[in-house]
Amino acid sequence: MKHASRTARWMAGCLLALWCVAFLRAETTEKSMVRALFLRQGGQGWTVSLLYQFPEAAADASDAEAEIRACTAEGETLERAIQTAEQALPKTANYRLCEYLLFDEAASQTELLEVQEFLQTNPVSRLSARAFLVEQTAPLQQQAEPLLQCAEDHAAGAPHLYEAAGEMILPVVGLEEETAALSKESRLLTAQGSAPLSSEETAMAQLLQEKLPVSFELEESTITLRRCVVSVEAEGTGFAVALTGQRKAGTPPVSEVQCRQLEALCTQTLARCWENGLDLLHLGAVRALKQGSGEKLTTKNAYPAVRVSVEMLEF
Amino acid sequence: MRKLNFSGAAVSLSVLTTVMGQCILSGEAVSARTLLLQGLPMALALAVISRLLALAEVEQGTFSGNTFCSKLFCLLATLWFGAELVETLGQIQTLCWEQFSSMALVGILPLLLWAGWTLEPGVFSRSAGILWWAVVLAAAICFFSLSGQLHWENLFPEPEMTGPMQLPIYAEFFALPLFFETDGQKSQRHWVLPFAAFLVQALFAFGREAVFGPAHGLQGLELLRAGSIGGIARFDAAFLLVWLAAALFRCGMLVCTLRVLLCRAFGCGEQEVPE
Repeated sequence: MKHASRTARWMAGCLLALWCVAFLRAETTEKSMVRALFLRQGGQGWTVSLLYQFPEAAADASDAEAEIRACTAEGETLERAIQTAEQALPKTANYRLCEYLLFDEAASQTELLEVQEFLQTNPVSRLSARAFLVEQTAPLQQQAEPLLQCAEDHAAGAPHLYEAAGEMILPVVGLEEETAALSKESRLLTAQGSAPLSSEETAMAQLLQEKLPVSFELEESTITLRRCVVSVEAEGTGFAVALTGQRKAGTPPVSEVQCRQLEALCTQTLARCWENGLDLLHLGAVRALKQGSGEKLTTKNAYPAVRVSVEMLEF
Repeated sequence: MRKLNFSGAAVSLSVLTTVMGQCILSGEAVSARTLLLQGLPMALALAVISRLLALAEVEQGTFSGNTFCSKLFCLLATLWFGAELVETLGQIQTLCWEQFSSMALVGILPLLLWAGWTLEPGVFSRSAGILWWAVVLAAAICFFSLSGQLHWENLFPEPEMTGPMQLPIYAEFFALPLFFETDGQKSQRHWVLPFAAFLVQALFAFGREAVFGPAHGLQGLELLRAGSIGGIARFDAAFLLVWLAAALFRCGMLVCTLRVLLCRAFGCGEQEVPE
């Protein structure tokens, strides 16, 4: 009886050891960590570039100092292009750290929506990935690292992919021979098409979206706002927009003239976005909240009267 | 005979873990508003049934294993809890493989089953408190990481109806006296468990809609992934690891329950464990 019990124990031990060996054989932490996707849609289909790290970026080591490399492939569909690109990777692709989606400068909202739909069934990135446009004048292979670095540095100001269903202001990264830098201009992407925004309009749009700090060039001086409260109120048939900003302590106060210039810029930016199909301050929702059910105010309606007032708080 | 004496924290953590797993891995077919309007009465009905059954089961000794009927109930409960164990293991494996490309569950499965089979219920009760703190902390961090992305205006448009809502139903709702055998009153106090399960479901649905707008069928995982504080955008991994710990805890607890139920159904004649 004692002998049988000992045999059973040995057998159980051996089985456990076999189990562990099988598990260790199947488990590996060395993967090609894809950090960003660069997607371009052309006449023939999709071109996909995977910006990846290998081998140091195993598992979740996002700060690994491995060189960023790019691997490009084409395909008739997005899925096919990604699969082809994956085959060229040194190890199995892992998309856990894929947080940036880069699109060609000529990308349209339809393209972004197609990617959004694709990601819902193929989780190669996330719907909350930050989206950028890339103005490419240099080969990607040599500039993959500065491109990713630029995206990382300006991630806070970039919209999430899930916002593509509405309208979005996309930052543009200029990819040149030796560097990659964020352009001061941005691009407005709506169902109506794509429109460029000047550097002043981009800064004001960021301010209205409360993506701070924001700098403005006014009267040959740079004004950087560190904090700003944007309040919107339905007023009769129009709206009252109040911007209450604050600068860094110790900086000279913002003059009345500069405040009026900011008001004009705000009015101009709101109107320009509205004409291109973007309700930047969700005026439609504010109106609906005030009125309840009834005719909804959308960008298909004429631009409503908006009274803008800018006020600066002193320390 | 061995008696189960889990704490309320252990039972509620076990149920809410699997609800969270369901929310993380699958999308909700209905809008948050529909979920609220349909789910509340359903949760109320479940809670009433749960309370009435708890009263009857304590009086009748449904899970005592002394009569033929009682053995039959134990056998049925074994099947249900067994199915729940398989479901939870499936959730863990899916999450480990899809998110961490890991087969870790396969590696620890024998140890997990052994621990669940041998550990006393009191061990689970004592560890539940610590896990609760971890879950609450992880959930709070995830909530704050989403603070800039929750837009009330996303809840404004009239959502499309895409299907009927499903409130998760678990064996725990109908077998509460089984978990609190040393204190019959305790089982009657935990009739609110269906409301807690509904609350978790509603939080995910409202969060998903406030962030992504009225898009149906999105995994709750996307909501966790959307969070970021400063430059850190990987709180989902921290939450998932805490969830995995809670899911392993649930598996152990279910195995412990299954052992007791099997013994009662087949009369294995275990000696009573001194308390």
